[in-house]
Amino acid sequence: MATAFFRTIILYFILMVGLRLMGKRQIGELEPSELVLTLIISDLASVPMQDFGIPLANGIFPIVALLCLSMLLSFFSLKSIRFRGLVCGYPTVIIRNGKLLQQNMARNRFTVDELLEQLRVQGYSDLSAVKYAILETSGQLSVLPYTKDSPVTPQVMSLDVPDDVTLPVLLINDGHIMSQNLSASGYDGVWLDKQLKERRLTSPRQVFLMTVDEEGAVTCVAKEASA
Amino acid sequence: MKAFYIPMGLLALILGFSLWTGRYVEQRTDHWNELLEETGQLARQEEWDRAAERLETAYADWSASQTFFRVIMDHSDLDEAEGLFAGAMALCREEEDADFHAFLAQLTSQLRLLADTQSVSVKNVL
Repeated sequence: MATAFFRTIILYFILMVGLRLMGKRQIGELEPSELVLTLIISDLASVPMQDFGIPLANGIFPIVALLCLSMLLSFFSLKSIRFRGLVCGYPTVIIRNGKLLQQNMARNRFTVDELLEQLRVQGYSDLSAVKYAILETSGQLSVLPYTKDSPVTPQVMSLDVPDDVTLPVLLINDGHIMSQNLSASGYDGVWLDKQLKERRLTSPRQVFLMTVDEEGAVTCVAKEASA
Repeated sequence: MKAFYIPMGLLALILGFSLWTGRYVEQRTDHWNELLEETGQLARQEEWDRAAERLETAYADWSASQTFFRVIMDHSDLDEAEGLFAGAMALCREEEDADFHAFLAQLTSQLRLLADTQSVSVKNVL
């Protein structure tokens, strides 16, 4: 059992490091090559985890080799557009100027049901509202509606609105002070204590979440009694 | 270029290690097979003490390589060779001529098989 335990730990960390190197994509956004890689790696890892007759190296070496190949594919994809197209495929227009391109749908084995589902997910119940729909290489559908069906923006309305979008920075995360964020925002412990006192809190441990934005606006959520 | 050189380097390292492993296993098994051949000849000349000594030398050398071999090879193949070594040593002590030579032949064949599984060949790849 100890063998299984240690093998599992070793393989788990190798997989975690490897998948971290692949990037931040979610499973649903994987390119075909990345999906293949994930499937093969999971199988390669599970066999030596359970079968002690197989050397651990038989699992590790192929996994490392696969991750290296994946990194090389990414490298060449970045360098060459043609290579990227070969590996990842190309986005396909499914609707152009409101017209459904059935051949493109058939080529990508994209069914009407899937199209309608993706449109509904993006808030379009009516096909006639869509000017362009593009099936991305990740399998997601990008939808561009007609201007008359697009959401109204201040720019469309010729309104002059102040730019009040700011990026909140996390200062306290579940009772833990994020010191780096605090100093990067230009504040210090004294300021933080003052903010806590203003909210009748005695310790950062009583805070579940505290953020400050570029305007200096503080958002503080205290921990619930049972939390 | 780091994104290119690191994976290429790692792949080259794995390939190099695999080739070296194949060569190393072949050398080791050749050496043991030579000792086994000498053992067989000594047994045929009825020099059982010297044959046992030669076989034990081969087994001691084999045992010393086991940690590394278990890292790179299927454990069941190694266990089979281990069993054949033990059987051959027992038969050598009992001076069982006919059975001993049959065991020795099986052991030689098993060691060749071990080397064969690690060698880089079209047969193995396919």
